[in-house]
Amino acid sequence: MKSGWKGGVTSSAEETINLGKSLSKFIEAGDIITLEGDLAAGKTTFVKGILDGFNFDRQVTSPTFTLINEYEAQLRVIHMDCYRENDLQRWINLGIQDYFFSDDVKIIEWPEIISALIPKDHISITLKSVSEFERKIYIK
Amino acid sequence: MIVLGIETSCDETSAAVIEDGLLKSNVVLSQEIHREYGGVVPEIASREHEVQLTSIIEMAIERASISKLDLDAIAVTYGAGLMGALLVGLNLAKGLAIGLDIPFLGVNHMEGHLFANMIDNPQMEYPFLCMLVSGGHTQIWSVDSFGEYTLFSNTVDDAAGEAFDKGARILGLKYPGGPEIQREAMGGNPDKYNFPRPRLKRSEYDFSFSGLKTAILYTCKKMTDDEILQNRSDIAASYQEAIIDTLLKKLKKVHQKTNIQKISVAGGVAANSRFREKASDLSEKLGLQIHFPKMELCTDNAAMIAMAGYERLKSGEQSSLDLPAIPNLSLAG
Repeated sequence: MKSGWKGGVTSSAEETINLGKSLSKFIEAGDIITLEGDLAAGKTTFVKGILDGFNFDRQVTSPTFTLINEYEAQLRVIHMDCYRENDLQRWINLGIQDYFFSDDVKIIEWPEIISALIPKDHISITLKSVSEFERKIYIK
Repeated sequence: MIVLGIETSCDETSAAVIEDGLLKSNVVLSQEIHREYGGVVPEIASREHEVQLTSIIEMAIERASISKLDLDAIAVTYGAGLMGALLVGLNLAKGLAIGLDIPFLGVNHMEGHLFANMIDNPQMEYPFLCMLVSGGHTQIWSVDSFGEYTLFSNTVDDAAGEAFDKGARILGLKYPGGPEIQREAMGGNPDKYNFPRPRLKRSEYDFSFSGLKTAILYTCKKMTDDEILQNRSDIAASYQEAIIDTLLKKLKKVHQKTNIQKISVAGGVAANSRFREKASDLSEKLGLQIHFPKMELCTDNAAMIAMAGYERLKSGEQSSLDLPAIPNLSLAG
């Protein structure tokens, strides 16, 4: 990823989308981005913004149940979510390592469970709920 | 015509046999079962589609009291789903079709859901609305005829089943959250907490559930653990009510827009008894005919894939053997 992106504090879902959109200008092919934050911290909303920045005009929804959503945007984006599936072997069976070494942009929610598989040079972003509507979003 | 259906797009490994539109067998092995038994029962010890699929297919063929040689075609999900999971079913289906020298049909998973209701409700006539409410999807389609579908409603963030699940987690209930919330909500006051029923600026037909998740989280954050426990059935009942009201409000809107009277429901949330009760009330009020297929046909299964494949085969279609798996396959724009 190109350097220079500044996180920020947002006070609505729209602002979180806009902050995600600002990040997309710094993202390069092959980047791996992990998103850490509690339930309702705005992770999927933030991803919506990133896709928005890649001129993706279709629905971006939570991958919690589908596990992996693939989006054909300006860059191909692989949106993963490890919240529901905590069996590392299943992720390996799903070919997750192939994704890591591709040119697609990988964005991973709840990455803790597969952290052993994620290449070290990934970008780690934290989303913190400050209040019901405020979110602090920054690179760790 | 006898069609073998195969479904491996996500969590379920499933095979089914349909003969002339009638269901002969439907075997579903769920990843949840794996989790539950954790390898204790030998035949479900392995969680991988590739290990299980061959025996699941054999079971489906055996339960249909036919032999492989009786098959006229193989139908398989080729998208949407997980690339790695789809390929297991797709490759085996192609191999079988080559080996048996019979046609092979790639089926869109979502199209399967639209036709699941026809399996136990063959008198269903076009046009009808199909409401798919699961952990991964929350959509309302109009099915005008075979192959002609319009997507009216979709979630813009979380699916309804996911809202149930994450709400359950916030309330300290177990996974899967749908049945847990329903149990907890029994006897609770659904009007005690005013959870949002979001109306979207951009589309009046679409769903949004992520704000509801935030609302239940902050309702609980304002309480002590004891207070949450004391009020848990009221919170669960109010939360469940907000999800169901939102679902039915949009269903009513799509009905009013399209004037389609026949409705079929699919997806795991169709098991929720409060949803069924309120959906039936709404149907009575508006003069709709609502059909809830059997649960095994509501969740991911190969019967619906075989059924959609059978319909395609009848209209003279078959797929080329170089058909790829398409993880983000869509059904309509």
